[in-house]
Amino acid sequence: MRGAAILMGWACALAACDEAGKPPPDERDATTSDTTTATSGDATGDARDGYYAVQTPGRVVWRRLNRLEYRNTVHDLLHSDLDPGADLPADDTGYGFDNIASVLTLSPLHLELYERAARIVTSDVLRPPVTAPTRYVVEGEAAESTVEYGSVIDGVYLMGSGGTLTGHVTVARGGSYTYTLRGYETHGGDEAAKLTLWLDGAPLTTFDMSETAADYTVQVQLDAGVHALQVEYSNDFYDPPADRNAWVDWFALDGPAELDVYDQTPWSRVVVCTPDALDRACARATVAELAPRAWRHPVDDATLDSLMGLYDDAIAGGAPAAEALGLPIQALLLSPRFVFKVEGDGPLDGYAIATRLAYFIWSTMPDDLLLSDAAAGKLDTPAGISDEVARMLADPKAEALVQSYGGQWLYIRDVANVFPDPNIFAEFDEPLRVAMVEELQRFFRSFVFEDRSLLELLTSHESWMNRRLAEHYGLEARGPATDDQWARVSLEGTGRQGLLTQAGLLTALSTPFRTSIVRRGKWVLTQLLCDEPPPPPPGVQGLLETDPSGVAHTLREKMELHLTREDCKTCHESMDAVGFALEGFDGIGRTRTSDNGYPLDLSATLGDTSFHGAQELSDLLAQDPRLPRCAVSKLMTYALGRGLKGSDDQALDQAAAAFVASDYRFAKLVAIVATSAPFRARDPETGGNP
Amino acid sequence: MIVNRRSFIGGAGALVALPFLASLFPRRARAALPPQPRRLICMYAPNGMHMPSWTPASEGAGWSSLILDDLGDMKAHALVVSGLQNLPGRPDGIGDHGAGTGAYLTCTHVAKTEGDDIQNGVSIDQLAAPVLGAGARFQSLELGLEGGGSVGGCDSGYSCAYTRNIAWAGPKTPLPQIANPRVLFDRLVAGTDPNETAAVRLRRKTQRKSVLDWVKADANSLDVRLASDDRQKLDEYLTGLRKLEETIALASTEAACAAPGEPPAGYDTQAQMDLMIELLVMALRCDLTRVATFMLANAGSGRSYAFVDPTIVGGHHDLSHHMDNPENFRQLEIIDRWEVRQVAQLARRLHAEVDETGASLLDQSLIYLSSEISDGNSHTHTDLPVVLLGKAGGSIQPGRHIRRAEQPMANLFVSMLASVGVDVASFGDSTGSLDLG
Repeated sequence: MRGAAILMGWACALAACDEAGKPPPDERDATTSDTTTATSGDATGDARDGYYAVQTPGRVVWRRLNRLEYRNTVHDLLHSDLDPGADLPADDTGYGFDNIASVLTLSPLHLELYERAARIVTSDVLRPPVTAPTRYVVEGEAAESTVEYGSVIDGVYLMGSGGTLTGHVTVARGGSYTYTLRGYETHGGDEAAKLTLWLDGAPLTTFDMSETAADYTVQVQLDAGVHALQVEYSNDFYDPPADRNAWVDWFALDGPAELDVYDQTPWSRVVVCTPDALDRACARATVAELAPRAWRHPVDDATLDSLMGLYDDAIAGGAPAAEALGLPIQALLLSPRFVFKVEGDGPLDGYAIATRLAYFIWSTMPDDLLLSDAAAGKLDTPAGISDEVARMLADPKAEALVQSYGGQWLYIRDVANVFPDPNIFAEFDEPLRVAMVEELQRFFRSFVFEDRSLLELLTSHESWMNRRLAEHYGLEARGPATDDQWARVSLEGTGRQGLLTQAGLLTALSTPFRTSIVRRGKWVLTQLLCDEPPPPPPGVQGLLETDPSGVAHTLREKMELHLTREDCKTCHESMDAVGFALEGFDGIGRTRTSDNGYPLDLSATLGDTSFHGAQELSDLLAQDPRLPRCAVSKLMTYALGRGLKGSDDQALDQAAAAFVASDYRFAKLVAIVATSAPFRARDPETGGNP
Repeated sequence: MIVNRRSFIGGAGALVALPFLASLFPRRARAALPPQPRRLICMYAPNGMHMPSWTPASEGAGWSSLILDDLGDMKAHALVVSGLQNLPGRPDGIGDHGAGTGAYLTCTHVAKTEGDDIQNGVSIDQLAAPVLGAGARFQSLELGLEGGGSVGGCDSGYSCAYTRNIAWAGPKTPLPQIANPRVLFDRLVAGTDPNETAAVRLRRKTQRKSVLDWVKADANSLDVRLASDDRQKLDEYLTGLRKLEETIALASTEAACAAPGEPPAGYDTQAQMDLMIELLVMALRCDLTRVATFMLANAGSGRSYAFVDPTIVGGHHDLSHHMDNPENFRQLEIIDRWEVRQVAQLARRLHAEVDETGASLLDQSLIYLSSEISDGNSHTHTDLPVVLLGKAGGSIQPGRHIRRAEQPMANLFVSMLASVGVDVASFGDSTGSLDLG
């Protein structure tokens, strides 16, 4: 373990650490030394277990649902296919994650869009099921016309000169519609009258009209709402005696083609009675079902009655019952009890724990079992929480840990935003990007759902590939035959192992034109060792692309110029060493043996330890004691929604020890975090330490 | 307005033909152009400009430059100001895009952080909004093309809050942009259905208000004995609720000025830009708002401009680190000219909206375009590119290029605010007002 100890010593040199390997005292949180007043003195809480005496819980302010959580929650609560949450502004990130309480501000625009979302989703869910198509028709004689020589004859509009007829319809249900025009022409000249159908300002198709009335149709996809229908006559012709004219009887939308099966409609899953049976009793029962799930805690009768006041007022105002029912449901969605994860101080009650667990593991609201377990007191003990965690990890919704947690911790989401220069990396295309993301996700997924040591993130000698990715790695012989198939492929003898040599990550940590030693090094230090280098001092310019002295040819050699300056050396020594070892892979993760035409040097030194290439680097990192502690720290940050401070050291130490003792199992780590004091309690606010 | 039908037909691959909204205005709903109030629109383009091709060689009238000549027929309505600097935009260490964009409309040195302790000043549009926008449905609109998130911080230690927002209502309150034309459309038109009766519209408005009232009462009941940090979160919420109430109260139950008929769901960058311009024009024309900001892209944007010219390779930000390569200059000029053309299009559309006295909406407006830095390679915050369009109701005389070397951008902002009727003693690091004579 000497190498690991050296690594630790080296890291502390960066921040002028003390011998114990921790930051100097003035950088630690002021409450570190004071652990005795951690609990709120709730006798029941202390009696449940002695946990709180050993760890301080710390405090996170109320978190609002971020965009992903909002979308998932609305979907799980109301079963609508719509996703108005997609229109919410993007969330700001803090400490590397988009679910950090203090960073998730709430602007007036958010409120406006929450209200819009509530109205749209509620009215979508409460639309009576569509059991037959509807015709929305615009009669020719009723349409708005821009035709100079137009007139109505026997209910048909005569377009004697060019122009447009316009009508607006309100479509109740989105889906596939048939857009029909009924009309004909009076023939004149060499060609038929041409009528063009427009929808919402875009032309769809042009028909040559025949001289007898006929239906002309085109298929369209529509959302519910207002749509503009237009018929345009564009080739009027008048050269007496030839006179071409168009006649429009009507134009209409028919649909939707997709009729509802009642049991599959959101209505059937949300409202406790059928549409024709909707009365006040049914409305109240529906609200009584929804409210505790929407707000994630029991709701008393007085509040339910108050919500029903909205229904009653709407009925009195002339609204139909389904419309009136929408109002209390909108109120549920707009309330701060929905938008925020509301918590009290001290040991958290079962409902608050249920909420934290659900958003941590599933990025969505608690399910009915979580809420009933909370009511039964099962979430009041670590054993109860651990059981619940095991159940939740077995649920497909735990995929959220791969998409949201893995997506951010391991930068998988970033791969969607890379744009390698097409002149330099002509092989990079969308199918390759997709494959890169898939590999990273499948790899991380195996740690969430399979029983494997998290250290294998760095040491694993296999990965997942489809045909495209295998070809990218030069491993076509070992990979599947098609792009649709994915298989585990051995990496033996390839010089690759673990996460650090996966193409997606390497590409995300490159520039569009070349690799980036600094980005790769910084990423490893920050994301895997939680030892982020400080920013450069003021006045530092970027890297010169060419060395004026003509000595440095490869990127490594140019970077080594940094190490000749004392003020660069302290930070770049460690960052660059990591990056040097990864230079065997180019800007899109392909194996290479030269850079800029010159041979590579993949050797590097950290402290007194020398190593060569990605595999030796990965093996070294896997032994670093900072790695498991950092893995715990990152997951705790994500689970709690706040950055960790010095006062969390005890909790972090205990969790890290338990994680190591579990042989680095991610599933165990989830339970360890979920049963830690910071997860189960919230310190009251202390003066000067928000 | 004369509409050339030929330009609409035959675009088999076209997602949308414009101007489509104007052609769909039901005649009866076209209300009279609203009177005197002035409008302020602040636009933002990232990554600087290629200054040798931006700055006109001569001062006064009759000026010319490669990039700004793309204003075309709008040149006569433009006032080019060169030499200004925004020194508060210089970062601590690196992070010119974050610090510069944070300071873009605030002329304030922002706090360098990726966490929760963001700190800025109030932007000029938010100073103008309560004055100009009293009575308008939206005090201001914050628009853009990119919205979008990113993993792991936005610029060298500067929070994404600084790189994605130019409108700041308070030191910790960036106002997020709407980048989706459909969402913007919905906000402006608020689901008005021309086939609805006034009685139904009133009923809907009453319902919205009743839901808000209920939620507000419920939220206030939560406020009892809250810790100050939770209360701060609840206050953000209650502020938003109050603004929403005001917006709903101002929602008209009369037939809409704006035309219904949703924008299409799919669009490329150019179509999205065109749509957003049309919707902004509609909002201004229907007096739904009088103040707007528009980010053509977020700070440090790596957008590919191959759609303008296929010889452009790589993203905008990387090109702007031009390393004095003439090939990069050539590509940057194309991008900068595209940006100028979009702003010109907005001006052109406003110019076409004319009232009975012959004054256009552009005459009553002031459009501002600049960038957070001047040269994208050296990341300088001096000699910044600035062009103004419009007359601000007569306070500004366009058609010239003026040099104001080493004057603070904040001085220009003081003058701009005065020109739209908002008098401030100072702003940011201002030393007075800028002489625009």
